[in-house]
Amino acid sequence: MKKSLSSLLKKITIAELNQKTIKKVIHPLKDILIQNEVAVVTADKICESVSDKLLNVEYKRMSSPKSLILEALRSSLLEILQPEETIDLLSLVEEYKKKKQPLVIAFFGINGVGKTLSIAKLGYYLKKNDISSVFAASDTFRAGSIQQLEQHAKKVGVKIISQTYGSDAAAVAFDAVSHASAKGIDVVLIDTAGRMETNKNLMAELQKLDRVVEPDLKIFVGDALTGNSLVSQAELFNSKIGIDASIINKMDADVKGGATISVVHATRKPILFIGVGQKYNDLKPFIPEQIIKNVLPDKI
Amino acid sequence: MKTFFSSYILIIMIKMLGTLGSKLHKAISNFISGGVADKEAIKQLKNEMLRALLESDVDFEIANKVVSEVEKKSLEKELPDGLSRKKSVISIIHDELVAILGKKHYPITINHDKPTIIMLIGIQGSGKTTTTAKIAKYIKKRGKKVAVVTADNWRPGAYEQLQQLCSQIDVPVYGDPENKRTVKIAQTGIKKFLNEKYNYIILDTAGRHKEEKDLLNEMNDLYSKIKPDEVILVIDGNLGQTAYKQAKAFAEKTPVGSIIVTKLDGSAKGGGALSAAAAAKVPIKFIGNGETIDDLEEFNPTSFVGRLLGLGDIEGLLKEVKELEGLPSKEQALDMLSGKITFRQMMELLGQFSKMGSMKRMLSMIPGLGMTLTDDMLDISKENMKKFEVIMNSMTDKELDNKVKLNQSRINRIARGSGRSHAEVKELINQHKMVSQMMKKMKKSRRGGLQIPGFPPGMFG
Repeated sequence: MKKSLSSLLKKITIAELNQKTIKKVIHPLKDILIQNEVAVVTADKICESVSDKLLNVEYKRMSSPKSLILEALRSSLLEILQPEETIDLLSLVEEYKKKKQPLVIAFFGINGVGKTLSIAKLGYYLKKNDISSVFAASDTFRAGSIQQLEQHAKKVGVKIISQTYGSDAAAVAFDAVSHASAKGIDVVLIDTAGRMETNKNLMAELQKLDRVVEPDLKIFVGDALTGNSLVSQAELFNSKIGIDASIINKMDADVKGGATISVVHATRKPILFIGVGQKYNDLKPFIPEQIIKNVLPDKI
Repeated sequence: MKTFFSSYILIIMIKMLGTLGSKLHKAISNFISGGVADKEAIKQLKNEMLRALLESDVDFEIANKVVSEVEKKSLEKELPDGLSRKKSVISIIHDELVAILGKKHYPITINHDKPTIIMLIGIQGSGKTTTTAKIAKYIKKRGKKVAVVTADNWRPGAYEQLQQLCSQIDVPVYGDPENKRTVKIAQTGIKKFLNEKYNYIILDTAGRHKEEKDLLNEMNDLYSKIKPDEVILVIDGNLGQTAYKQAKAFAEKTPVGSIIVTKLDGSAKGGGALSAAAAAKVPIKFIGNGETIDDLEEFNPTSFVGRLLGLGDIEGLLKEVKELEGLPSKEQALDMLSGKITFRQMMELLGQFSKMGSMKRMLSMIPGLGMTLTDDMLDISKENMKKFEVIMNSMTDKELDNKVKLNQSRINRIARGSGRSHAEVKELINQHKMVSQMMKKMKKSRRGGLQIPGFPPGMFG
């Protein structure tokens, strides 16, 4: 994106910014955002915001149209990537520790986005920070899912609460929360079965789990390789369950990071972590400036 | 079942009102019903098409190339009259996309003289393991002796997952998750099943992506040692603009023979799979549209293209355009929407259905709906519709026009006359009531886009 964007900006020879010249810039800008994995609807919104900014910009003697465009784009992207609410996980855990309550975190998303591995990584991260956790194997649907989480739990050194396949997901989660309360465990990490966002019945099951255990943090897990359907995924999970934060996985698979822009734009909730590999320490904090830096040239 | 019947009527009416489908659908409808297919009209259609393709995750370059090609070919062709030019534009769109996807359904490789080995590869979380079991079932159903080997010694629980899936269909599984030597596991498993005279062996592998060079090398190693008869690349239908380069990285390491697209039961349109097919230069063989072991469909390029464009079956669209002209007028349709639908009108609609022939085709024209119906459901509905038609043939004009209330004695007479039971006559009456109510609701909600129970809002808006 960096290269194509700077070559685009180089081509701009407009002397002044007005509706017509802005339109000329916006069209290729949208194409570039789409090529860099931003969903089409999100790219539309970003371009709207950029052109509004440019129309209302106050002309300073020294500022060139090019730097104004770059600045408008940078601030539009940063606005999207930095929603008002932020989450500091470690201090949130401290808060709950003081209240002598476990912090209950539930993970959801469609099939194959890396929910189970994310839980293992987070359990590992918490352990590194001297925080105890317990896994709840509430994916009682997919074949092999319980064994998968069990093996992770064993490797990370965390206890797991599980029942059999086909048992009630909410009941498993509830058991894990009771276990944590009784044993003074700091965090409960609830794994859920992957479900297509359009599947009403499975969404209802997730809503039940939400009602029964009332998680303190509800985390949407998305895949950075996903295209436009990521927006509908995030929107549907957000409207049915409510999202507090997101984790975006597979950020190491040669992606530009457009997916993070689409997800935060759709949910207005921060990205808690990004997944950058298959090892337990491949969980990194999300730094909005990093994405912007990947995406935009420093100067023209 | 009842809901499906009602859906037929709703769908037809929405179609008549021209409110169905995407912007592209409207653009095409306007294009077909509008004036001369001039340069401007084709350009407008091109822009809507491009947007539809990008929203469906088709690779940016490919989408641009396809629509430019469509524009060029549409303009250069000398055709006698407007309508045929229009028809030719739609068929050009279709042909351009199908050229990328592969023109027909390509059956899975079957050796008749020796056992067949199939290897599945793909990115983490694409659905390789589930697909492995689905293919095993597909082959087993065709009377072959099939076994499954998993070389995934990486992801915890992968072996157990495959075992649990295959125990449902009574297919043996070999795996050795503790063994670090991936190639050795595959070789041992395949040798074991060859000795046991299995004529079909499917090899599941661990997920990997473009940047994991070691894992890609391991995949290549597996390929050269195992020498499978066919390598299938499993592609997540949700894949976006990265699909092309990911698929290319796989195809450069291993000769991919075909593609299976998964997770097409959500909101994904599968454009990434088209990009992947273009990158690997191979056809798509199957689509996965659900989590159960039977949710594997043979690939149909035309309906897939329709899905990409948000149009359902576009060949059907063309064919049906003429027949749709015979449907009730817009005024009649609006009258129905006011809640005054009569039995006669319901019957007229039924008549249209039988004239149109295949109901499945009709339904497949509706974006998103064709995929959610199984043949079974359709057949039941068809039967039901026939039954209703028979009952209505025993009703008087007044009854058919809603001019009299259907009391018990009339119900008795209708049941006797048609040779159906009272319950069946009542079922028809309930059906009619339900349709009327739905029409009322639809009218109310028209401003905010139509919503049909069971479908996401805005789908038909």
